[in-house]
Amino acid sequence: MKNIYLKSKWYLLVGILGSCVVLYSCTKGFDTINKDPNTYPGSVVDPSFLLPGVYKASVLDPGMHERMTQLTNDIFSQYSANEGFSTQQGKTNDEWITDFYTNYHSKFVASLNLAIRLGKAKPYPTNDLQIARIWRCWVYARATDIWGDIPYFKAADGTGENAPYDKQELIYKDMLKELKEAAAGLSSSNPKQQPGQDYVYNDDITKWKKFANSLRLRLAMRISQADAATAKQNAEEAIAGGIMTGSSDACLVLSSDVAFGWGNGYQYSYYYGWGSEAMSRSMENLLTGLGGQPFPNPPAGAVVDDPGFNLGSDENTLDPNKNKFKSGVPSKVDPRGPIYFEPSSDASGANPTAAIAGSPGATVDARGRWHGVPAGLSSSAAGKQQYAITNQARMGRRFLKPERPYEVMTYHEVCFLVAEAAQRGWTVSGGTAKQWYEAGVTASMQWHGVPDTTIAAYLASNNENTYGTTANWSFNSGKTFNGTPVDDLMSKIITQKYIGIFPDGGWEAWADHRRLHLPILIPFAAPDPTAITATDGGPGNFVKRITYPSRESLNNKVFYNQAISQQGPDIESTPVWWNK
Amino acid sequence: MRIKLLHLAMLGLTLLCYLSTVAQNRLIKGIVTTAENKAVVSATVKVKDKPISTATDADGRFVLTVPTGKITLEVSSVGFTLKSINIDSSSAFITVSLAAGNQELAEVVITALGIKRDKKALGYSVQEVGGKNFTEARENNLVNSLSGRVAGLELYKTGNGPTGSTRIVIRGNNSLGGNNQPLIVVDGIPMDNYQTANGQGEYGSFDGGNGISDINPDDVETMTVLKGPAAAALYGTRGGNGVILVSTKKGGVGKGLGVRFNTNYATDDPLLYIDKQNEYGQGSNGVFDVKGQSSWGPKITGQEITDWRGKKVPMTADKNDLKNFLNTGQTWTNSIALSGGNDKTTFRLGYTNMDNKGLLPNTTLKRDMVTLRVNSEVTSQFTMDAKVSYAKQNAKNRPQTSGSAGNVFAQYMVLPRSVHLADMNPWKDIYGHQILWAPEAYSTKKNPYWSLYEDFNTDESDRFLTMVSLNYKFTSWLKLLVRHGMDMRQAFTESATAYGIYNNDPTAPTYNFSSGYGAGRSKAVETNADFLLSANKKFNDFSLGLSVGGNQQHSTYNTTGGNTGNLDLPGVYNLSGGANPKPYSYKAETKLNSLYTFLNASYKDFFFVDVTFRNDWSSTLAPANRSFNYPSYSGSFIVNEFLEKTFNTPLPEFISFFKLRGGYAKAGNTIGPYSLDPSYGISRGVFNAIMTSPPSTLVNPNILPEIVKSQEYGVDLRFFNNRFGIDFTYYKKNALNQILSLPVPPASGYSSKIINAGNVQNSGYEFIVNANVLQTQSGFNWDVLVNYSHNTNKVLQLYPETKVYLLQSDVSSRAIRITANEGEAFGNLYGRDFARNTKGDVIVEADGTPRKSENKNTLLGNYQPKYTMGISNQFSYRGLTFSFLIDIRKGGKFYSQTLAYMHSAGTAAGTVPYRDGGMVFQGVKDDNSKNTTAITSQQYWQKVAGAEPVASLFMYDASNIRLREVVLGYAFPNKLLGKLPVRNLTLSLVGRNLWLIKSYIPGIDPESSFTTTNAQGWENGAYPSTRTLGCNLKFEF
Repeated sequence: MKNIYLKSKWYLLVGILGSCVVLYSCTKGFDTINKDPNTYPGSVVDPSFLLPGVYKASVLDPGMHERMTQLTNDIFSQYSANEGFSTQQGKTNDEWITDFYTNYHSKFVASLNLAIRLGKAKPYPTNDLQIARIWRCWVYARATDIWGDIPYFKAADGTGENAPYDKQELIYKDMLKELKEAAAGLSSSNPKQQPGQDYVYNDDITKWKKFANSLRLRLAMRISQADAATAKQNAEEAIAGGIMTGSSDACLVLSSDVAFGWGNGYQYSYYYGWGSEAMSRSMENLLTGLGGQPFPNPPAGAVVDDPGFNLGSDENTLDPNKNKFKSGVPSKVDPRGPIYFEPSSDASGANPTAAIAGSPGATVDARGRWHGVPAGLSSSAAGKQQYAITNQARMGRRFLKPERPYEVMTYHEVCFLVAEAAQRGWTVSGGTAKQWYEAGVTASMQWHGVPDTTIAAYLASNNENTYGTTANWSFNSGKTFNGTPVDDLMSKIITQKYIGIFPDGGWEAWADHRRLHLPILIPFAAPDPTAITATDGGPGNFVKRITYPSRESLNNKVFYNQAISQQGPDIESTPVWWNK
Repeated sequence: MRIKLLHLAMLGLTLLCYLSTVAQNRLIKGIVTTAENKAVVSATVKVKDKPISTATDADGRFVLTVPTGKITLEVSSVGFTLKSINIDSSSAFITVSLAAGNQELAEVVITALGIKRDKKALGYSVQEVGGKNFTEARENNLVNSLSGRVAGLELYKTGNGPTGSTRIVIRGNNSLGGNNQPLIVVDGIPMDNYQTANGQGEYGSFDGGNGISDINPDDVETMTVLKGPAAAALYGTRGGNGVILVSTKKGGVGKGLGVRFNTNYATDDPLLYIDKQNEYGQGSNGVFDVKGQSSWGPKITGQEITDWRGKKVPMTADKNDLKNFLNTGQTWTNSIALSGGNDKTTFRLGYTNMDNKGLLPNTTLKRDMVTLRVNSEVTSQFTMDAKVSYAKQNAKNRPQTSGSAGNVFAQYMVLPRSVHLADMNPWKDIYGHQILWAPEAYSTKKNPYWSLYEDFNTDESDRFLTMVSLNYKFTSWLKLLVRHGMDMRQAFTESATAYGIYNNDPTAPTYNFSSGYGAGRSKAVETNADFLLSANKKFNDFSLGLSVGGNQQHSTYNTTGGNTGNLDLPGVYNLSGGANPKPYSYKAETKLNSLYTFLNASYKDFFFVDVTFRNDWSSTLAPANRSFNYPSYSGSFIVNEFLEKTFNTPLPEFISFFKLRGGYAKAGNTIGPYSLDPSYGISRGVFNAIMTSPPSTLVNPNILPEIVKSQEYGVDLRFFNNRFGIDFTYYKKNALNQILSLPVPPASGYSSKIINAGNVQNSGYEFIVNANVLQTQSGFNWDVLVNYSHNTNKVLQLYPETKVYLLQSDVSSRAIRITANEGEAFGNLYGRDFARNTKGDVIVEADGTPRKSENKNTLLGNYQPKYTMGISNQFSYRGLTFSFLIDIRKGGKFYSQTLAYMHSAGTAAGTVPYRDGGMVFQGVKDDNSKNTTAITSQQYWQKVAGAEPVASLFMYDASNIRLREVVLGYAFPNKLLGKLPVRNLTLSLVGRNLWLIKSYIPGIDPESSFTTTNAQGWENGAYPSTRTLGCNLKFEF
């Protein structure tokens, strides 16, 4: 009996041990455990899931909007000035553009290309596919406009393989083709997509078509100087194909429906809170006097038309207002001016007794000033109180509102594009250059709530701005600036476009200035000599492009060197193809 | 579920056994003395082979309840030879005289899997720290008490206040992508040392502490540090960074119920205040500016100004404003432990309550901790050990860190000197809006009172650690252990940024910038079931042990919660009460199965060999790569005994012990779940659209775990009857197969890809010296323990494509980068220097200010110390004890963003000279002519210390020497207590972190980093490190 017990104890032990070994080395169920329950598996992803994220991300989240739009494009286009970073001297900020470059490929383009691949694989035609193609053109155009040659044809194609830099000329031609095909492929009779996903045009396919053509027109005009024939053909086809016909066709992206705060689609946050940007002197000069309308409700106690007094010599000699510190407001101004930029005030931190360096003992009440700072001040000049951003006119707080959408493309921009095409003598329908110009000004002013009577008076005014440009199409002041006429028709169109597409049009404004050297902007006061080489106030005096992320020169040497050999040195003064 | 039921059943069974095992007992009293007839205090008196023991009191006396019949008592104490006494059934009082002797023979340490081993048999270095060190001079975070007490252990205490985390690194950093912290094992069961201080960036957050702080110091018997993988190889994939074993106290058999109290009260005050200037007020260029956010204004002479509140006041600076703003931190800790039992079963029930108030007003941390431990001998073959411990923690307003606007210290440091903290109370106006001294800077500035009284964060957690272990002795040489343990933590966290910012125009819309409320629950459960079958047999001179075991680990984690977006109404905190409610949920599950075997062999008690082998199967790896094995080999050779036993030629008498040891091991580092498949994140976007995007990291389905291969060699020498000992270890380890995220050209569509590559090597040596310096006839005793460690680290290889690895890019104002580049040491700090010409002269701009270098790739140092050293001294004379511990850290660099900001803002003491100009910076102009243009101190500091600062100016030597701990205690003789029911009363005065004897960073403690990630060596807005003073009283009934 005892033996049996003993024996069974040993059997039991061996049994337990054996089953333990089996149990502990058993990996049954491991595969199920390691399937991520927190995300979509690749098998269910649909193009319609991918697009909303790209809309939101590609108009740039607040962090990147701050860096790429406010602190780079808006500085180079002089939509604002004096932000205290290296871009103030025309230099590329490597960290910001590294982020942008990485995001644009690995987030925007990767998502769009995946949507296009999934769309093409469907056995039936879809509008999502065409929308993805259109949006990809918008995303790519912004990238190639700032860098020039970029990886395009093989980039982010799903293989995980690296891709070479493609020539901008080829990229532009392909984008024009894509937009043409996408517009043609859009159809209201295509099957309905997942509802609630299109918060840009709310599934209105006609509007998408108009946007595709309008964007094609924009891209066509961009290459007007580099390849006039292609530009003309595409512009004419796009206009004939049906462009935006009113502001309700504008392409707008509400980057967030409700949230208002850092990280939630809060545009232009850099102006306030972090704040070190103000209205640029060029913007002040363009707006002052233009259209001859009185400055509405000047702040209490503000001096009107202060002649100003002399400061030191930090500013660029081409500025008609150089070294003048003016308090108060101008008597006449473009009606959009005080809407875009609010006079300095207590609330924005303006100083009741700003000490004026260069004029010993002088102090000025800097509250109620509606003036801007010169672009490209050296950092020590920028630190002086006369240039302190809080003592300048700064972006209107209406642009901080959460319900304000990001303007991807507005009807007034389209009007100015057509006006330019007409002015070039290309075939346009729907009116003359004058009519399109006036439609653009009207749409822009209406967009910001300017009354129709004021618009009419404005368009009839021969009042000159600081440079001598006027609003009246039929009038020419005959003035010149730095040797070039300032009130010819092309100057009027681009000046109005520059003003009209504020504030989201900084990318376009910089591109127009590179392409046409219009409107007049004061060259940077103290540019970095490696970024801006010329000093004559001519086209070479402005930033031409931004540099590639320095990481590319390390991690992607072969393709990077190839890009340099086809485009030129990787510096800010190398023009891109359409600027040549 | 099945495992949980099993677990509960086992727990119940153990408790039943306790109730059913009642036996006959009797009392034995006695006294333990030295050969010189002096009382031996704290000697252990134990009944052989029974879990019955007690310790002698200050008079050397003991009382012990023992079973009837013949027994054998074993009496031992440090520095004495163990003595066994047979006692017949009639003895009631005994006197035991102990002979000074070779304690090494009886020195038992706990090793991997909780196995007790004779220390001399080990082929690797382990170090044990006793429980007394955790309870007298207390730390809120248990692991901080190990500082200076273990060679090779580096603690990086965060500068996040008393509730902050501590980063633990043993023998250097192995892993580039992993966290490099050791595994924590409590009573044989792995415990989650969760990290909450990670992932914080430039704009801060708060530090919710780390997992090891949930252990009650009062429960801890010993902490054992298994340093190298040879010691930790049995933990396989989890042992690559070393292991810290925590053993908790068991019950003891005594006369009736043993009741022990411990009460501790401690106060905290800042150890250091940063030097600020008190001469210049708010403004710029020497001119007062009520809008100014810096302190470059006029000289403070009491002149009348209209301040930011619009009040006409004299301009003053207040030297003590921060001191007056802060409270004295206070911590009360009260604990009670009941223990008792009989010869079959013992139990211990401990309860501790801790209540901490921080330096900042309205910040508290409370803990309640209960532990029940039952040990039972059911039959002579079958024993059980079971434990349940529960810790409840409630933290309110953990301090905000780094550049968070809610970080009071960061805010204060740059506050213009003439703007006073005291004026910021009240902090809200009649509209309920925040009153802010710099209203236009509402996104970066906050009223500190608002941060502390309106914004809030709270967390509540419940943590259970349970363990049931059953032992069955089949025969005298074969036994089986089956063990199950669970670690469960549930937490509820809330945080809110209050509604309403300053707005000086109540009629205009208020920009309620970034208000919000978030709340979330999480639950983490890890269960471990293991078995171990051990056979041990002696064959003449050989002794052999062979064990086979297995472990099944199962971890689950889930969390749900949400955020409101901007709040609808002030003061209402509900997840539905905001503009943009966003829920989130996440869950994860992993399993790790393992089997292991190990062989312990010894010959004649002087030659020992251990071989271990573990195989792991991990659920987080692809099926083909799932199985991994980790071998280790180690051996030890006791030279003195070898010579004595083999050649009969003992070593000279002054050498009492001479051991050589060595070992090699392979261990690993795990991979988290869901790393193999591309996943498309789920989110809701604008207008509730479904949003997803492809992953930006190219996943690698063939990824393998990291491997750490290590070797170590050591000598253990003791002299003069063990009164002086030196233990030396040399080690070298290579961490291979690192899981790295390699940046790829973005045109590939990905920003990075995951690969296995790299080789990080750590090598170094450690000394442990202990000495009984003095021992007099009168009972005076002086012991010294010195721990010294030196580690050299090099990244031998990264990946083929690039030599650069960023541990963290661009920390704080884009000032520095922390790297682990190929060919360099882990943790190099790169930053910006001045622009220099080829001769090294600083280039000066035309305006006289120095030019900053455009790139920030100047190597400015490495954060790792060259060596660390702890010296502890312990003096005792009868019942009086005095001890102190000095911590020394030599080498390593540290970047202070606080000091950069303070110089840029003109608040630092160093900004006083040259306010009126006259500073000619030594350097050359572009044309190589000497600079002669004078500038002001403001021009200089704003340029070099503002955004993108010249980091080299704020890079400091992190070397420091500190008086870490002082304890003065007196154990009242029980005679003195007379008829009082109280026994063994000990009163101690304690101090922690008392004196920074030497440091090179003005006003900032080098122990002030704020994350526990691999990116160490910098601080921003650190909470001042605190000096703790307190007293501790313990007594028994």
